[in-house]
Amino acid sequence: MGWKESPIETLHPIEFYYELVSTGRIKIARKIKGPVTIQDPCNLVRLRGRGEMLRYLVNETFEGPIIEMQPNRGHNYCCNGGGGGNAIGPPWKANRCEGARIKAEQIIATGCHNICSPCHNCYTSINDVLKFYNIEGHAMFMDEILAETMEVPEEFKP
Amino acid sequence: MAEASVKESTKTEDWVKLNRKPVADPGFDETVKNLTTEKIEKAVNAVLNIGKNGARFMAPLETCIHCALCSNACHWYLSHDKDPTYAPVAKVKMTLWELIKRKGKVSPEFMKQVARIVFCECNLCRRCSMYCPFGLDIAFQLGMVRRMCFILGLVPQNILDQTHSLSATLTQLWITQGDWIDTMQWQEEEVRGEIKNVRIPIDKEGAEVMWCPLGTEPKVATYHIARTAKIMNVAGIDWTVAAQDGWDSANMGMFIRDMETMQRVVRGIYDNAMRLKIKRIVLTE
Amino acid sequence: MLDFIRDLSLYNFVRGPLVWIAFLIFIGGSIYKVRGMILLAKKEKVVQPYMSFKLSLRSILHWVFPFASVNWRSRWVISTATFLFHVGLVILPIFLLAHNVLIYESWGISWWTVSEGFADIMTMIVIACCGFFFVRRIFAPEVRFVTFADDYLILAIAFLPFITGFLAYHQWLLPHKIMVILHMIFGSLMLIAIPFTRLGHMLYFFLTRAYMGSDQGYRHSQDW
Ligand code: HEM
Ligand code: SF4
Ligand code: SF4
Repeated sequence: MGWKESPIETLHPIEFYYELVSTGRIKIARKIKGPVTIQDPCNLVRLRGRGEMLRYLVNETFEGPIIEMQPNRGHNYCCNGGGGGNAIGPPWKANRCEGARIKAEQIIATGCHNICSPCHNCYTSINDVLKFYNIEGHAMFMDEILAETMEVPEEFKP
Repeated sequence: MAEASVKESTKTEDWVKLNRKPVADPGFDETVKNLTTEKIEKAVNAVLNIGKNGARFMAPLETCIHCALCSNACHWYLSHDKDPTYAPVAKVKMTLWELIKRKGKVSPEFMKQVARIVFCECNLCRRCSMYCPFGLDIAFQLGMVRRMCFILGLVPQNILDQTHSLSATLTQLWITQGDWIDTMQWQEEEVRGEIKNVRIPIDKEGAEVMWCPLGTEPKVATYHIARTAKIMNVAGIDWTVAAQDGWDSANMGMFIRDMETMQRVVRGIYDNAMRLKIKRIVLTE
Repeated sequence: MLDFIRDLSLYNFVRGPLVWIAFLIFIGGSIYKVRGMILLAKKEKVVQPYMSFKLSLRSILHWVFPFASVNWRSRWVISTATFLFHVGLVILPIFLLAHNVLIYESWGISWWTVSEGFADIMTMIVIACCGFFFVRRIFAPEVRFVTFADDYLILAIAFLPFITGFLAYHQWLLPHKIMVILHMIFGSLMLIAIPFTRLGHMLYFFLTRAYMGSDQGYRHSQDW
């Protein structure tokens, strides 16, 4: 493409949700219980620098505390689903999970059951990894978290 | 231990044969039967010639000091007890350097291993570039190798199929326009149970935000659509989804370096945005 | 048998023209190579628009100082070795008293020098680091896997001027004059080799870092 800046602003959902929550267009009514850890997606954090926005959202929606994976933010390990890792399909699932052992170790070290993974690839592959290594816990997508915690004003109630 | 996985073969071609667990994938196993050294040579050199004209390709080749400081950046390397064959620079060695050294004259078997390395043992996550003292873009180089494999058709079947689908329908999972619109309306109904008068505006001209989901969302994960509708409506966003093809933000072409499909997908989305005079696009991928 | 080396004409050739040639090739070759790479980068539409001086500098600075980047910190042994090695490699030849004397004799200019004792220790450190790199190449599996003959060659090219200079200074092993001649030959060899082998990383370092630094910086991220 011949543009340096895209002519129409493109946003990642996290950037969009950040805007909604921080400007108060969406109010958070309740917080999800329990400690939470964050899977920093490569494309969003390493390659877009949105780690702090993500943490803001998690802080707003979880009672916490946030227990960071080590390493985190731009240095976080890839979930092993990116770059086509998931899309290469079911035959490679075991191969993929074996390659993500370090991710499993990271998750176990945090001891968290809630894993906020706001990327479709991360979401799928984190769940696969959890199952493969028999770790208790579940990946949570940001729209799921918001839909659960946001305040639905009276006029919207059926 | 680390040595066990590397077995130097002493036959005619002395390349490093990896001792990986075999995985059956028709995209590799069937395609490789039809490959010949000549075909490979042609594809490899076509890509190399493009690469030679760019600094992003040449600079790493001439700079890499073979220090392997990038190795402990890679989750594959760490997950396999520091097996040297999973180190980022090792992947470049076993694929690109080898292909350049032999000028593309390699056997189909070799190429199959190359394809496995670049597609199934690297996520192009660029973590290694943060650990290389020179900041060399290893992901870009391995991406070029993916491009070679793609030209040869040596691509895992699943992702190739999705790319074909994008190429034909601009959706990832062969979703027709009718199905897509149906799904949206069905989800609208569903959410009405929770939120009064929910709308999923389709093709609304001049909307502030166009939302582009992933093909999997309408296909198998409709709950994403429901939740998004909920959030958008409660927040009072002037939003829409595009009715015409070009709403899917999955871009498998990018992963297998099918540049043509990749650009068409991007075009599709922008075309829709322009058509509807959208101010901002939200891409789930 | 060694008579021809003792001959003054060889000494004079090495001291005069050879060093000149080496410097010319080094400077000319470096300019040629860097220019070529920048031209290549200009051909690519996606490189130039994103380059930023500030972001480049930020990235370079984080990687030329020891322990300023995550990876340098996580491998402190290698970091220390690399930094001592490179500081010795780049700084020592420029600020060595003996080199300064030679330049003073030729051009009448000189500059600040390091003391001989310090130079001696630095030389030993460089030599030791070469040994360390050599051992690492042989025994660290991930390094050995990507090692080729030319890796040993460039290590040797970097090593030889230092070992011969060291031996010449202490007048060990071979007669002083012969050692000095060898030292100058190897020194010239190193200069010539820099633009044309992967020792060119000295030049490209700044370009590749600038690219990665700018790219990551543009993405609101960082690369250290
Ligand atoms: C100022 C410019 C230079 C910079 C920024 C630089 C940077 C680096 C870096 C980051 C490494 C990899 C780290 C490691 O292997 O531990 C390296 C390795 C090396 N450098 Fe340099 N370098 C420079 C100049 C030179 C020069 C002038 C020479 C010699 C002529 C040289 C010789 C080497 C050698 C032989 C290695 C390989 C060590 C090994 O075998 O692992 N460098 N350099
Ligand atoms: S880009 Fe590939 S080689 Fe580099 S760290 Fe990621 S998975 Fe490993
Ligand atoms: S860290 Fe960089 S220079 Fe060293 S081997 Fe890896 S890619 Fe090459």
